[in-house]
Formats: sequence, structure tokens, C-alpha cells
Amino acid sequence: MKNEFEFLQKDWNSAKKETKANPEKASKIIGEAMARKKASIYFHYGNIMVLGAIAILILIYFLWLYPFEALLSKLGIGCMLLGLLVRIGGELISVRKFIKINIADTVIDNTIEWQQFLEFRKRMHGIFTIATIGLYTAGFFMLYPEIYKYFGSNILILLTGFYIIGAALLIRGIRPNIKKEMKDLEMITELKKELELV
Amino acid sequence: MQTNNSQLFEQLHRQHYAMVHTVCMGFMKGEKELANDLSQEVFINIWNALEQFRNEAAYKTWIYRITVNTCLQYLRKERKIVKVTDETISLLQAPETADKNYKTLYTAIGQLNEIERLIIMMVLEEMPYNEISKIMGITETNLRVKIHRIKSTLKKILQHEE
Repeated sequence: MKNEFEFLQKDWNSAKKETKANPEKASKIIGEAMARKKASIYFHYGNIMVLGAIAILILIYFLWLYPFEALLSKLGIGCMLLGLLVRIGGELISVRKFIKINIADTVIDNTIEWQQFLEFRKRMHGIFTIATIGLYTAGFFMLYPEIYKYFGSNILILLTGFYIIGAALLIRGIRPNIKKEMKDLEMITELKKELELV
Repeated sequence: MQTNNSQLFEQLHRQHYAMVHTVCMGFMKGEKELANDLSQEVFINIWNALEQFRNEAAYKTWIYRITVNTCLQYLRKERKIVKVTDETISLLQAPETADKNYKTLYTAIGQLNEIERLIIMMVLEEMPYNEISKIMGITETNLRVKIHRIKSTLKKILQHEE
């Protein structure tokens, strides 16, 4: 084995010797790294900003522009906002966990950090999503009696249609990412098992 | 601060590029294009982590940790790429596109699983076992068992090659 391994070692050292660094590349990498960091910040805070904007729109629209009078409707708006706040809170925790992942940690620690992040994402796709959709939908339906009182059944049917189509599009849009994250979690768990295996 | 970091980064790039690139070549089973991409990814991560460097380890060990972690992260991306284009599939599966000069090296270590491949490359790099165990975050005993197993597998692979 010694000879065979020595042969691989010789090849390894020659391959390394043949590789030369291109000094021009270093400054290009710095530029690319900075651009990616910026894009990553937008990506991670993008969801939070969209959800925050929806919450603000709901506040402006239903509380100031077209204020509801019935207590049930006000409770409904409260539920819708709470649903969004639950999601925003979850997304903030998720970003914090992602930022904590340290690429310079030991391989096992880095794997554990990824596993914890992806396990939290799994919870986000489970309990957090159910709570958000449940609260938001319940709140939305609580507005129905007052909408019916002033606008009639046609508007209600139209609103329900938009709500269902919107929900279907949203689910279709986020499904591939959920699948990918769950696959990543499976892989990370396998990797951790492999590392710990003696 | 930015200028100091840039200078330090350029120096690290110059000193450690060959080591990083050789690991990436081994990890990518000799596929030069993929190894170039992966090396760039490693140095992007090095730049982003540079401010957090605390002198607790030598630069080489620190860079190695980033390299190994980036390789394992790339694995997930790579699987995603494989599904995307047929061209990538052929790139990943076609050994004839691999660096022909070191075919035996890349074919042999390419048959190991990812963790084994990364460990044996550190052995080939002649890193002390205690340093490898620090990079991997596993005990030295666990590491020695793994290395023994990897070397036996490599022996079988190389004998089969002949």
C-alpha cells in the first residue's frame, strides 16, 4: 500500500506545483464577493419587506381609508395582521440562524449549524405556515358579514375567487424551494451521520 | 481597513491558490471547469470571512476549513445543477473531460465518498492528523479509523485499476 499511496502523493504534489495563481483574479473575486453579499442581504430581507409592506397596506386600507365598524371585522383585521407578524417573526429568526452559520467553523460544527437552520426552515414550512394561513384566512372571513352588508354577494364571490387563486399561486411559487430545503436537510443529516460514524 | 483586507486577501490568494485548487480538482474528480468555479467560490467565502479571522489557527488551517465546508456546500448546489441542464450531466459524468495527466489520482479518489475524498486529500497534503481532526471537528481516534478504512478502499481501487 505504501508504494501505491506514494504514487498518489507524487501525483498530488506535481498537480499542486503545476497550479499557478492569477493575481488579477483576486481583485475580481473581491468585486464578485461584495456584489453577492449585497444580493444575499436583499434576498434574505426581501420576504420580510414584502410581508411588512402587506401589513402596512392592510393597516392603511382597512383602518384609515375604509374603516370597518363591526367588532368582528376589527377582530378579523387583527387576526390578519397577527398572521403576518407571526410569519415576519419566523423569517427574522430564520435570517438570524442563517447569519450564524460560520463557513470557517470545523466541518462538524458547520454541518450542525446548517442542520439547525434547515430544521428551523422545516418548522417554518410547517407550524409557522399553518399559523399564518390559519390566522390570515380566519381574519379574512371575519370581514365577510360587513362586506356583504355594504357590497352584496357578488363582491364576496369575487373576493373569495381572488383569495383562492392568490393562495394557489403562492403555494405553487414556494413549493420548489420547500422541496429543495427538505432535500438539503436530508443530505446534511446524512453527512453528519457519516462524519460521526467510527 | 478595506485596503488592508484587500492586500491580505491578495497575499492569501497567491500563497494558497494552488492548495485550494488542487483540493477542488480532487473533489470535482479532475473536472477543471467545475474546479475553477469551486475555487472561486472558496475564495469568495474566504473574503467574506476575512474580518472574522481571529488568529486562533494558522491561515492554512483556516483556509482548509473554508475549502472543505465550501466543497460540501457545493455538493448541494451541484445536485441542483445536475437536474437543470443535460450539458452539466454529461460534464459531471464524463471522465474523459477530466485532467488526463492525473487520471489515476482523480479516478481513485473520485470513487470515494465526499467526506472520505476530503480527508484523504488532507493526508496527501501531508497535514498532521491532529490538524485534520481539528478541521473536521472529529476525534483523532475516529479520524485514524476513517483513514485506515479509506486507505484500504484506495488499495482495492488501485489494484483493480492495474
